[in-house]
Amino acid sequence: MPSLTLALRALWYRRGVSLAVLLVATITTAAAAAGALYQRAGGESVLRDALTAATVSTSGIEVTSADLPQNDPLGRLQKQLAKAGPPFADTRRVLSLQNSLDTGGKQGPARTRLLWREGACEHLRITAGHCPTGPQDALISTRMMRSTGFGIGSQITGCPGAQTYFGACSQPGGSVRVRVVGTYALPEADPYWFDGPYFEAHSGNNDQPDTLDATFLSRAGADHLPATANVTAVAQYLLDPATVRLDDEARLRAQVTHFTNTLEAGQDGTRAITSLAAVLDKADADRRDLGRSVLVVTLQLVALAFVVLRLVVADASEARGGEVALAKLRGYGAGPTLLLGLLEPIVLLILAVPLGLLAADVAVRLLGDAVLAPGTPVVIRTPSLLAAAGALAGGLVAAAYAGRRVLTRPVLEQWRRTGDVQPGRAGTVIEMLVGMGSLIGLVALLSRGVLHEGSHSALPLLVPLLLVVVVAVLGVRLLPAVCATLVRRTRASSRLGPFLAVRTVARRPAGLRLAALLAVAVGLATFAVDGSLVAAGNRAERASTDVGAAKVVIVRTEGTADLRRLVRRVDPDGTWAMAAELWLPFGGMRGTVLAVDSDAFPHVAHWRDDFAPLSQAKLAAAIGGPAPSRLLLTGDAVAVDLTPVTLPTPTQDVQLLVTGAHGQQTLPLGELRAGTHRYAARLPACGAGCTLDGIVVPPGGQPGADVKGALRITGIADHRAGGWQLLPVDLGAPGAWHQQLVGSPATSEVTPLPNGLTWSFSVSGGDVPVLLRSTLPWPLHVAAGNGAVMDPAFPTVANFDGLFVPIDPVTAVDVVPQQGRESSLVDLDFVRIALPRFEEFATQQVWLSDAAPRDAVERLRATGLQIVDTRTTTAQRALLDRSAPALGLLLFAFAAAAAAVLAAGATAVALYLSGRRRSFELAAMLVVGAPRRSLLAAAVGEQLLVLGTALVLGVTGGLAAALLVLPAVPELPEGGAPALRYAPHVGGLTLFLVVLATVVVVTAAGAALGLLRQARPGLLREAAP
Amino acid sequence: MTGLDVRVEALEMVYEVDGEQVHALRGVDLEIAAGSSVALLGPSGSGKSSLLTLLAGLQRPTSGRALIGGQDVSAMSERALLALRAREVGVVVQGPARNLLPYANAEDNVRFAQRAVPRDRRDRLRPPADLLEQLGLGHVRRSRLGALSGGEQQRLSLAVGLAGAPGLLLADEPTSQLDALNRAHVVEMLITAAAGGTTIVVVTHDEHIASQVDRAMYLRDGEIVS
Amino acid sequence: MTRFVAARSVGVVRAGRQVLDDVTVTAPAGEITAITGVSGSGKSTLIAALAALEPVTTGSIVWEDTVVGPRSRGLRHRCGLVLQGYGLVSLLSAAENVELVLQAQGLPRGEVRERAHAALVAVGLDGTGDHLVEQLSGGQQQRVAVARAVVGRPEVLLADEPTAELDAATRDRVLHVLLAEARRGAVVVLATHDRSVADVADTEVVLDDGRVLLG
Repeated sequence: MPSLTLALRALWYRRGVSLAVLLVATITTAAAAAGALYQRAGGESVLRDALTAATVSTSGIEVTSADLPQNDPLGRLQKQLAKAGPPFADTRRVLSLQNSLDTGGKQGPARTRLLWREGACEHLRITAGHCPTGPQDALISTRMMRSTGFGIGSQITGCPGAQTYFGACSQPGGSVRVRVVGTYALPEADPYWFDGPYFEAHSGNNDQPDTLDATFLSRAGADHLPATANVTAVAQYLLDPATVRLDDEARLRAQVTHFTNTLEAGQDGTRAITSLAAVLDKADADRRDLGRSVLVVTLQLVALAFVVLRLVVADASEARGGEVALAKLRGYGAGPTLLLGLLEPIVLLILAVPLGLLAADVAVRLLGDAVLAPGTPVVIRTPSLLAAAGALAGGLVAAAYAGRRVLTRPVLEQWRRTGDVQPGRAGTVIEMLVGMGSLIGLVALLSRGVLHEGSHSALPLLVPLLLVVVVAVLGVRLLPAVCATLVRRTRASSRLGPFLAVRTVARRPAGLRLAALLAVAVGLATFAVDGSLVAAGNRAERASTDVGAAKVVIVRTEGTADLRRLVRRVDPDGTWAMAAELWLPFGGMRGTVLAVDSDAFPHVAHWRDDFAPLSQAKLAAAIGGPAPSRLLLTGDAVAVDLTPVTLPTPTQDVQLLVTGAHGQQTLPLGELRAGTHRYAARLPACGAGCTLDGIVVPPGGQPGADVKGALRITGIADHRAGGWQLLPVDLGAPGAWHQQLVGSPATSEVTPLPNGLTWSFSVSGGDVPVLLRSTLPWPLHVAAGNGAVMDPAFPTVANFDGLFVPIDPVTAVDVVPQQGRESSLVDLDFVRIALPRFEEFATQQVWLSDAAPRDAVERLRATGLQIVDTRTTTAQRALLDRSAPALGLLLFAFAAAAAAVLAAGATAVALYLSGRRRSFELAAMLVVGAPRRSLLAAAVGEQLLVLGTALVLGVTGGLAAALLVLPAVPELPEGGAPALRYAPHVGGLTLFLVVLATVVVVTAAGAALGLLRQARPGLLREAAP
Repeated sequence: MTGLDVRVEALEMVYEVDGEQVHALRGVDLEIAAGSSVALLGPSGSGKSSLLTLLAGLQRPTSGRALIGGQDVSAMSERALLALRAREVGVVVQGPARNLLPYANAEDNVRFAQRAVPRDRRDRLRPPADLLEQLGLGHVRRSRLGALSGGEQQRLSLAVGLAGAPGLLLADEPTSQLDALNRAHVVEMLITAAAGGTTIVVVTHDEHIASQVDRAMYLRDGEIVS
Repeated sequence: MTRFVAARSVGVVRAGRQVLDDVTVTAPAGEITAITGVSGSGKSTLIAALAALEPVTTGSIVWEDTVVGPRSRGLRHRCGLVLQGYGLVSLLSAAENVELVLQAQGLPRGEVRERAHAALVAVGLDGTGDHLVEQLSGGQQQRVAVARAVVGRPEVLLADEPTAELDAATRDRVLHVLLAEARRGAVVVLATHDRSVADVADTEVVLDDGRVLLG
């Protein structure tokens, strides 16, 4: 019996081949195990990201219960919660009691949220005074302080929750009185607040009071609200994403369901709200997508690895042919001979199991550290072990198959062998079967329409392999045929290089199987390189578009501070910072509207040429552009040349609106008369300059009357240095004048004339016709998103006060940075003028470009801006890079790399095994006078012919696969803008090709040189191999 | 040790190479008494190696019979042939590489040969160390094969052929690469084995061996000429 | 032409063994010099040394007036070789193996094919030129090796056992070819253990255990 020590010694003796078998078997095992491992780790990462990306209130649970204060709603809620048990294993809970208070401030009726919240003061910065402790104590925001005029020591009285009719309590004794003991600054983003609407302040409209930031009470204060005030007790449960693993998911779902069901089972109106299930469902769906991709990719890699394993195991068992013959010569029976023939590969294959698992573990860990969500666990579990066992079984089958040939071969035949393993008929049949099978599979997949864009399936990832296998198997078959025709042509030629190269390829097709393998590996790599680059480009584009700029800071200004001016204070030229405000119009337009500093927009915002028909700079100019010039008055009197086209009824007077050092005032010009006249008025105190804002036609003695008429204005003059000077302005410039908007139905038309304009007007309901000098290009210029303008005939956008402001959709925009499709762009300055106080309802942001200095955010903070949150393209990119589709593609890239390593390993083994014979032949040719140079050329030529064919076939197949398949491969989470692009990444592919070609040339030259160096004439003295 | 007698009757061996019939053996008759030693001589291609491989059961004759100890090896099953070689017939073929495990040391090579011998006889075999000592290879018994000189490897091949104490030893050119001193060693080994009762058939070019064995036979073009 | 090839007090030590010891042999042009001796006597080593394939440990190999060795350049076109194991290129057909010699000399296609064909015919291989070497029997391969050695009309022809696997008729044919080479004026050295070959030679050198026993 051959012993194990002997087998080990044999392994060492043939360490080259042994190492190759071990390497390939390890890669095979690792490939199989890594798939399962990666899927698990990727799944964990996807779950973690889904939970992290979800807002606190979506992944958490909010339980609310309303009751009268004397019934201790919080105590009752706590009892219910205790009964339901904790919904999460590691629970963080915030309790609160809340109600609202209607009161009045400087501006009129206002509403604040009365709030007691467990530990609130630890999450607030108290700017003055202290945290409320007594039952009457209140803590208000500095913003509220400013807008209402309340301060420390102020008494706030009002009526709690929905019992009021603006200040008057509907129930006697229901009023609340608290005393301000401190003020707080608005907090930055903090999960503690559970996305609660506690820090909102904006004007009310029509019948709604203004909304103020929350007013914090002490617990005692919340408990001592009037008996008639219905208090809401709230418990908010925060989920820590880091505590949730895939294993916990089922338990988590069950616990949450149990929790909410238990709470809602009572008839007391307790509500538990969570969207956790939806978040988990989405993560599960993503994970299933990833699982399919991983399965498809892993199967391909394992299949490829198995092919290589079969080749090297066959080589390895050929190498043992001599010993098997010896065992037979000695009369060993079938059993021991079998063991002798197979013990080595079996030992190697078994050794490859732990090595493969280790390699898979290390690879997935490294990959995990590089791309997966931080802290994603990588743990070898049953599926990985089963996969490794499967790989072992496959390896054993390959070994048995390869061993069978050696074991059944007669001793004499073994001795006669030249050591050149020619592909057996079975091998050729298998090869053809693989080719045919791939072709059939390819046709089946294509005809079933797998390759449609936006597909969710992982099957498209199967197409590249099938395609490159077909191209490789068929293409490589052509090579010997082509060379065979060249054989005759090079016969007896004195150019020995091609003569020998062509013959080697034509007559030793053993290398062609290797070439096919290499072609497959190169094809997969080409596809993977292009796919990865294209997808990475798309992800980068998506990330930039999602965020809008390199960095976007969500900020808050207090009061009506001009965000643009604040930002311009840190970046005067608008080259790296841009103020932006985002809001959802109250009517007139669909989707969001992004108001930007249009001068900074081209420098800061991300842009791709297909976002709009105009370039970024032209679009910015279209929505921005210069405002009409102001009419500056510096003299001591002002005059207007007027001609009533239709004398206004019922009015007779005309007035001017002028703004000077003392604010805006009305200057009467006197009674209107038929015909053209100059109407003048004295200008009080305008030495430093006043502006003419508009012309008013008041209804005279009949307030409330409808006013109609038409005036022609042909000049405006300033009285300076004793004479009238006409203002050098083009009165009739388009958009330079517009009629002031009024709540009642009104019509107005401003018609430009060569030397002025005609204003015809009709207003009703007590409103006054006013012709305003525009301070923005009128109407408001908008880059309108698809379908954003609801009524294209009369494009408008509504302000919160119900005013519909006319807009001019100067251009279309398909994709708005950050907002994607169905969003529109306007200029921030102009929209502030057109829609007064709109920013109270807008999210304020500062966009920063790559060129922004490191301390940009600090500089912004220094201007008094409050920083709420920060988003960066880099972080978004990282998130997208580990989304389920990206992880699937990434694995494909790694599989292709592994395939390349396998192919290289197989090539090395083949060269190693055929080296001696080749060197012998080269020596024989040297001895008959063939010049070394020609032999080198022949050897290099042969390698280039084979490797080059593999390269060309592989790259062709891979590129074809990329063009065909990429659009159907999921690359990014669904939805979102902009459109993905699939054009081959020329730069990356070129670099890849150059590297690959270099490797091929260097390998070919290196191998040829190595062989030739071995080819000493002395070799011929030894027995021919 | 009881030797085996060898009888060859009208043995013919025809190969077909490229449609061309090559007659390796043209009706050889031969009788070798148990325990005697015979040298087969003749030019390359005369058929002496073919005769040896037929006796070893490594190939089958085109016609005729070859009997070893009365058993017809040309008609035996493969399994029976293996058993015969394991129990009774030692074979030393040309080139040390074909006789030895390249990665095992001298002692392990002998042990490898002995392990093939059925258990009932294995226990009576000489321990490898003793055997190597007796054959003058004691000093290299633990050496790697690569460290052995060509002559030592060839002697080791013969030692391995004799390791199972066979009733018949078939040796092909056991001295082809050896200098005079080593050749003498080998001849001595053969003589000793023959004296121990083993029947010996050796194919050789070496007239010296031919002069030391009981009988020398010459082959030419597949026939025994003397 | 090379007027003679000689070994001068040549000693070769290989793997610690004295394979050749103080061998002095001179083979003149126009003659066949046979080297005989039993297996292991050093015949093949001497041929390899004369062919400048084997480095010599002591002494020198001289081609006329030049000392040669494995590093010498320009010898290959002057020398035809038949080695044990034949040293054929298994990748090529029989004819291509022969043609290779002439191709390497840069002769025109037509001449290459004509002369190669003639050489194969001379050794009795007219029908097997297109067979790959691997498909030929040992004897046929040996004759291809002889054809290849003579096709380039070498000044020096060195052959190790050129007739070992041949039957009598073929052997005579090959001997005839070798003799013709000698008559043409080549230095012909043969290593053989075949008496009938030695008998054809003009001179016989007998080696025993690496030494010249007779010659």
